[in-house]
Amino acid sequence: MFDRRSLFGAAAAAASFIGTAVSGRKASAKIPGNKDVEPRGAIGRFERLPTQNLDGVQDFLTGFRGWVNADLRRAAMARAREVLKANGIDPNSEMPIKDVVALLENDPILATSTRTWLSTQQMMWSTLQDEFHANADKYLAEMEATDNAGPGSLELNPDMEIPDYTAHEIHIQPGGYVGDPFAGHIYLYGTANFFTGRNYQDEIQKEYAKVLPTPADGNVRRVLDQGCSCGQAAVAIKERFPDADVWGIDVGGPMVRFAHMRAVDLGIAVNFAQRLAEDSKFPDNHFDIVTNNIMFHEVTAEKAKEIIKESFRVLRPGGVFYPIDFYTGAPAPKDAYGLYRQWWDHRWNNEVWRLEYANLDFFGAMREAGFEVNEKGPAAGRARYNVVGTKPA
Amino acid sequence: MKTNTKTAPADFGRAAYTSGYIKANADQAVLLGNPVIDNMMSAMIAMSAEMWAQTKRARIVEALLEEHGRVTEEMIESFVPSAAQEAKWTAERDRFIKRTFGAFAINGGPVTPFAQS
Repeated sequence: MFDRRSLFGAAAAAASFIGTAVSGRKASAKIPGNKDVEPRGAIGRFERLPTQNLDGVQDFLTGFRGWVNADLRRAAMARAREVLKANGIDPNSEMPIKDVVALLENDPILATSTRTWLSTQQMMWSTLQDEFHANADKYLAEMEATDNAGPGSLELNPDMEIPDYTAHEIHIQPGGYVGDPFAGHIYLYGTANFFTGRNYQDEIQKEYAKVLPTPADGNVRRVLDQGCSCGQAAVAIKERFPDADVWGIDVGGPMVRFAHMRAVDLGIAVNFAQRLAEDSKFPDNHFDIVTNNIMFHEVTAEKAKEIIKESFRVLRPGGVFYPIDFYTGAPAPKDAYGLYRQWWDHRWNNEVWRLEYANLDFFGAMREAGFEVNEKGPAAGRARYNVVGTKPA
Repeated sequence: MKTNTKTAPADFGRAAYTSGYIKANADQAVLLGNPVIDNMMSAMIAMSAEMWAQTKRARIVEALLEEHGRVTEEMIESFVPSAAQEAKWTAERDRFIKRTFGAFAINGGPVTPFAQS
């Protein structure tokens, strides 16, 4: 066992390479009962993977994903345009998705791009799952030690009925969010890879929390993060609003359990609960801000509408609804290759509800629920705009 | 069409707050016309990942020997590279990827029926 603080000096130098400001943990932040599983220390808030070999494998897959996303995708896009032109189709024109897929699906260059991406995604998940399953006892003991610890709180609802639509292995994560005891561990390290090394210090969630719009009166006492997964955004929101009561809810028990453990380890007081976004159990007019980050493409169109209505219910008059997902800033692409990519993510990355989401009149659903809608609100990352809903005062 | 048949979670003999899940079928994907070719691509990527992990381990051993004149398992596992080392090894990794897989980024040129080429 290596002490986090003894490693931190050297770790800070490494983290500077990642290009981020490193925020060290409070020295007092600890998993109770000497159950902390952190054999290789942490770089800032990122606990290093437990073995050098797994770290090396994930490092390769991170670099490989970057290459697939850049060089191979460029080749695939060029090939797609050639195939479409050879068939007399303007690549920028709109066409039925099934026709695009029929033309592009079996092209060997496009298939190679898909194969390499898919294999990378599969290996990313499976190598992580192997580690946590092989050492399940100590990782479960670590979570057990923090289930009732603070700061913050954890609510698990083992008898809750899990809706089928949430039980899929979305983004081919093994077990999905509900079916693997280490869903949170796997998701955190998997997405570190997915974001090709740009999110080791929760940079994406911090940027999102920074732009989170506030009610016009400036009062932020309670914030709800729906579909919080492993809790990175909820933690970032609490860091921005340290005096607010911040809640993160997710259908996945293992997700909120890990999220709570991580927040305890970071010394940040967030309340996590296993609840449904469409049936959150919070009182009417309770929150100042309701938000979610890349959640809506993981739910059915019907449930998306229910979640928007539930968000309206739990917001107080003047409260702000801020969802971020693929098409909360700009409409879904309609060009042939854009459609192909949507289908591809749906089919091979098992984004089961992505096509429903792309076809949903999201802003219309917000208006229908009662929100005043600003389609050109502040955006995080590379997006120009993001929608903001306000519950009329 | 997705089926809603659920798979039971792994059981480790203690509370894990899991429930049945609906498996994806991406592991059955045959994208390259022959499952063996798909599997070979996956195997190549897996072997490359293992090779890179060993290469990185060798770089760590070299760095430790240079600095301390000795190396132990614990020293390897706890090693944190400097910013310069990390940058150098990342560049080496990316060159390795392009050197080994770069040919797949050749898109094959214009789509022309073979008989006309």
